[in-house]
Amino acid sequence: MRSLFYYSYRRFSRFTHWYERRFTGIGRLVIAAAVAFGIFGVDTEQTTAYQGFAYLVSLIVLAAAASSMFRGRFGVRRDLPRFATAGEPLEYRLYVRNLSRKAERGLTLFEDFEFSFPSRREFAQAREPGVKRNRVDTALGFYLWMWLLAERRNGAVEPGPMAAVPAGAESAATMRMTARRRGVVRFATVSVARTDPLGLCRAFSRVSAPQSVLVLPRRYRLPPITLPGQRRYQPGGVALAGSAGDSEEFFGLRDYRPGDPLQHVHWKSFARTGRPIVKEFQSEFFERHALALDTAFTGAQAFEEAVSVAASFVYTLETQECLLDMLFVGDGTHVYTAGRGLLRAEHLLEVLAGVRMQQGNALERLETAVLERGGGLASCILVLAGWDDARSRLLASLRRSGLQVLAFALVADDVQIDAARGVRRLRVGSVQQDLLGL
Amino acid sequence: MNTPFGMVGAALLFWGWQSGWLLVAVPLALAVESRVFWRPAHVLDGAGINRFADLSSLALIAVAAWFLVSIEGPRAARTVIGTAQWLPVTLAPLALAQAYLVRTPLDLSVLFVTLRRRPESGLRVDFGFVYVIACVLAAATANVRDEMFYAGAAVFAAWSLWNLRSRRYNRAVPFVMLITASVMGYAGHIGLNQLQRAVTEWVGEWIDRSAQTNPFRAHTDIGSIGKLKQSDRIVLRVRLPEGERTPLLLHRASYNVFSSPSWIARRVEFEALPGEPGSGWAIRESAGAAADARRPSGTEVEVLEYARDGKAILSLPSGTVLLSGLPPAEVRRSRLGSISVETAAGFIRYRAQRGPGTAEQGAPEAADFQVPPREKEAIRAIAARLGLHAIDAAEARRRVERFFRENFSYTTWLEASSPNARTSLAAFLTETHAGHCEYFASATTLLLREAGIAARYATGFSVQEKSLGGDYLVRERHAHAWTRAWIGGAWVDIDTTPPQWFEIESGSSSAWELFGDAWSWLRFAWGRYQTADEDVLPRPLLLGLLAALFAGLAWSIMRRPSRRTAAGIRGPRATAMVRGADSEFYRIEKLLAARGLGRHPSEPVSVWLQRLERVSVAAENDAQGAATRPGELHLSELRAIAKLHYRLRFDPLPMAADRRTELRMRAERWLQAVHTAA
Repeated sequence: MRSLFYYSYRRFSRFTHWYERRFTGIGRLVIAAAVAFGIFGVDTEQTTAYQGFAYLVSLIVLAAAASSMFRGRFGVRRDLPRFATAGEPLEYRLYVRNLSRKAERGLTLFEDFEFSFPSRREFAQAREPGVKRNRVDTALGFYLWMWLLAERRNGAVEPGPMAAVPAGAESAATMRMTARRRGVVRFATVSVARTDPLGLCRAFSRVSAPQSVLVLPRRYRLPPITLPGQRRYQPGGVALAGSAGDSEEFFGLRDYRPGDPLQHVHWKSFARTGRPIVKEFQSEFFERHALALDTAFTGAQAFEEAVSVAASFVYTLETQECLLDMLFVGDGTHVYTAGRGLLRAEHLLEVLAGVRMQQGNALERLETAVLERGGGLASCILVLAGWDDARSRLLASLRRSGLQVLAFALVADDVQIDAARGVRRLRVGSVQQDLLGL
Repeated sequence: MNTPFGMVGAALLFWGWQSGWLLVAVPLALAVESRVFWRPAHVLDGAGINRFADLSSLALIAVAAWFLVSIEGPRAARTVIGTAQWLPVTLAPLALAQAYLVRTPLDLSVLFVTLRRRPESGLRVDFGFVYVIACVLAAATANVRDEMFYAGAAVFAAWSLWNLRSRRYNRAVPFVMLITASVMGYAGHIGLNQLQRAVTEWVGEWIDRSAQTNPFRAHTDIGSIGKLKQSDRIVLRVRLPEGERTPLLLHRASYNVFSSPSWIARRVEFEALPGEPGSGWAIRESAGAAADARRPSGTEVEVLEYARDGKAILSLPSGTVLLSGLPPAEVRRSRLGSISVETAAGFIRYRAQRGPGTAEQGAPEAADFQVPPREKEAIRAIAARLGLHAIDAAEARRRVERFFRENFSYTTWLEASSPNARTSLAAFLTETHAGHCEYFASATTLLLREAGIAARYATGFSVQEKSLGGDYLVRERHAHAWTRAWIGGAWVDIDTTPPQWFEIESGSSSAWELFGDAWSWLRFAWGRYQTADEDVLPRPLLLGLLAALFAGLAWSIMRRPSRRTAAGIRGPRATAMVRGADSEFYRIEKLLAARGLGRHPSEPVSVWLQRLERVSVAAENDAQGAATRPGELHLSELRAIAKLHYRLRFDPLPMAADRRTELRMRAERWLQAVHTAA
C-alpha cells in the first residue's frame, strides 16, 4: 500500500512540477475553467457548457502550439554570494546573455536545483518533525511526502521576470532564494521561459549552470548574556590572543636563567651589577570560553535547533574581547577557535552548516575534549540536543571539574527538567521565546 | 491585473439573459460595476476575505439544500445543475468584496477552506475573472440551444484574455489566435454533441443487452453442478394492500423457447404504451374501463427499486391493468408481458393496480406448444404416466401439480446428471427428483405443453419476507421461476416448486445480512423520500427554516473575530518578536496615517514629530485652514507619549508596570481628544 502511495505521489509531484512550470497562472485558470465546463457539459443535451469546454480546449491547444515555436539560445551566469542563511531570503543577480540574433522580451527565469526524488525506503523511514497529523493524513503520508520533497529541494527560488535582452547583449534579473535549512544548495540549470501570445503556456530554453551556495544555520536573537567564569592564564600568550587579554607589559627584572632569550637581557642592569639580569613580562590572562555542541544521536528537529542555538552564540559573542573554542564530535573531535587573529565567527558558522549527528559515544568524547582544555577555560556553554541520563551525567561531570557551565537543553514541550540541575530548558518550536525569556 | 470596466457586469447580464433572471442580474451588475464611482477607504485583511468566502460557501450550500428539498426528481442531477445556475448569486459576496474591499488579486486558495492552512497556492487572480467564468457556466446550465451562448462564452473568454495577453507580441498575433480558437471551438462543440449522440445510441443498445433481467433470454442453472448461492442483497421493497395473501409473485419476463440451459423469448418486440404520470399507463387494452372504475388505492401493490441508469424491467403482480406513480417515463410492453421503463436514473417507485381476471399477454402462439426434441423422450414418458394426453386443461394442471408435490423435493445442491439420462431436465424428472425452481418451472412448462396447453416459462420474484417496518423485502435470492399457462382463455400462474424453497433459501443467509439490510434500509428510505409524491414538510415551512438557518450562520460568520495563532510566533525567525509591538503609539501612528500625516518607513519618530510641527505651523499660517488644525494634534503631549514609547521599545530592562499604564492612559486620552475634535 505504502509503495502504491509512493509511486502515485512521485508521479503526482512530477506532474504538478511540469504543470506549474508549463502553464502560467492564467493558463491554469483556463484549464480549471475548461475542466469545470467539461464536468457540467458531460451530457451535451442537459447544458450548453460543452460549448464553452470546446472553446477553452481550443485555446489551450493553440497556445501550446504557439509556445512550441520558441527557439531562443542563452548563456547565463550568477552573482552568488558565498553564504546564505537558512530561512532568510537571499537576493542575487542572474545575468542572461542572448546568443540568438533576435531581441527577446518578457522572459521569465526559473532556477532548477540538483534534485532527485526520495527513494521508497527514505519515504518509508521519514518522519515529519514537530507536526501532529490526524490518522488519515498519517496513513496517506501525503503531507509527509510534500515535506520530504521540500527538504530535499532545500532552496526555493521565485521566478524572476526579465524585461528585455537585446540580441547578443546581456541583461540582469534579481532572483530571490530562500533556503529551508543549513547545508548546501546546488543550482543545476536555469530555465529561460517565454509565454505564448495569449499568455497561457510557457516554452523553455534550458541552460546548464551548476553552482552552489552554503547555507548557514538559522540564528536566534540572544538576550544580553553575561558569561560566568574568570580570566585564566593562556600559555599561548599574546601571539595567540592578540588584544584579547592584556597587552605585553613590563613586569620586573630578575636574574638570568639559562634559556632566556638574549633580547631580554637588561644591559644597563648587567653593567651596574655585573651579573646578567633579564626583563620579565607579565603573563597573559584573558577570557576563553568553550562552546560545546552535543552531536549525539537524538531527534532531528531538536538537533537542528541545537545547531541554531550554537550558531546564535557564535554570532553574538564578541570574539574581539575573548576567545571562543567551539567543540563538537564528528568523525573525530573537532575544535575551532575564534578570536582576534584567529578564525572569525563566519568561519565557525560555516563549520556549523555541515555538522551532523553522530551515532556512538559522542557524549563521552565531548566530555573528554572539554575536560582536556578545562584548565584554560573561563567558562563553557553547553548546548544539549536533548535531556536524558547520559547528558545529565555529562553536565555533572563538567561541573565537578570546577568548570563554570552555562547549559541549554532542547526538549519537547512536555519534558520538564528539575530546576536544581541548572539547565536552561528550550522548547523545540518555541526556542526564540524561551531564549528571550532567559 | 484588474477586470476591465464593465466585464463583470456584462457577464452578469449575459447570465440573466440566458437564464431569464434579468431581474436579479441587473441590480447585481450595477452593484459590482459601481466600484468606479465609489471605493471605501479601508480594505479587508486575510481573515475578512475568508469570512466573505465562507459566506459564499454557505450560500452555495443553502441553494443546494433548497434545490434538494424543493424540486421534483430526478433530484441529484437537477440539484447540481440548479446550484450551478445560481453561482453568480452565491459567489456575489466574494465578487463584491473584490470590487470594493480588496485592492490586490485574491489568492485562489481562499475558495477552499482546506487550502487556507497551507502555503499560498501562488495563483493570485482578480476574483472578477473567476466570477465571469462562474457567470458563463451558470448561463450554460440554462441550456438555451441557440448560437448565442457560444458567442457569449467566446466573447467573454477573448475579452479576459485580451487584457491578460503577453505584451511582447504584435496585437495581430493574439487576435488571430482568438479568432482561430473560436472557429475551432465551434466545430469542436458540434462534433462533441454528435459524438455523444452516437455513443448514447451505441451504449444504449449495449446496456439493453446486458440488463439485469433480460427480456429476450434467461440463462438458467439447469445442468450446473455445485451449490447454488445467491446474494442477500435487497432489490425491491414492496408494499402490499391490507390482507393480501403471500407469497405473491411479481412477474418480470416470460419466455417461450427452451434451449437448455436457457429460455429465450423469440420474436418479441416492445411497443410503446401511451400514458403520462397523471393518468398512469394502461397495461391491458381493457384497462381504460378499469381505470374509470378505479379501486381505492389501498388495493394497489407499490414497488420501490433502484434503476442505476434509469432503465428497468418492472416487477408486476399478475393481472396488472394500470401502472401509476411513475415519474415521466417511456413505458413499453413486450408481447410476452414484460414492461420496461426508461426514465431518469435513480430510485423509481410505481403502483400496480390489478383488474379482474388474470394476466393477459395476447393469445398463445405456436411456440407456446413446442417441446424441444432433446427433452421430448422424458417429457412424453412422464406425460403418459400421468395420463395427460386426453384430459381437459384444469385436470391436467391438477395432475401436474400433484405429481411435483408428491414426488419432488427442493434442493439448492446441484448434482451432475447421471449418464443414464439424456439431459439434465430428464435426470431431474426421472432420477434425482430434486432441484431448484428453474427445474420445476421448466419441467412444468414442458409437461403442460405436452398435454396440449400453451405454457411459458416466467421469471420474477416471490414476495414473502416482511420487514420490521411492514414493507416486504425482496432479495436477490428471492428470484423465482414459474409457469404461465393458458387455461380458460387467460394466462394463469402455476408454481409447482415446493413451498419450502423459501425457508431453505433463507437458511442460507449470511451473518452479515443484518448490516447489509441496515444499509439497504437507509438507501431505500432515501429513495422513498426522493420519489415521494409530496414533501415531508410543507414547503413554506421548509424554506423558512432554511432561510433562518442561513441567516443565523451568515451572521455568525460575519461577526466572528479573526482567528489568531495561539502560540504567537512560530518559526525561529529572529525578527518575528519585536519588543513593545503592543505599544499604543502604533494606534496613534495609524490614525495620523489615515489623515495623510503618516510616518515614512525610514523616518525616525523624532524627525516625524518635527515634521508634524512644521505642518501644523504651516496650516496655522494658511488662511484657508488645512484639514488638520495644529491644536488638534496636541504635539507636546505626543512628544511625551513618544518618549514613553521609546522606553518601552528600546530599554533593555522591562518597563515598570506603572510606566506601561501611563503610556496606555496617555495614548488613549490623546486618541480620544483627537477623535472628539474631529
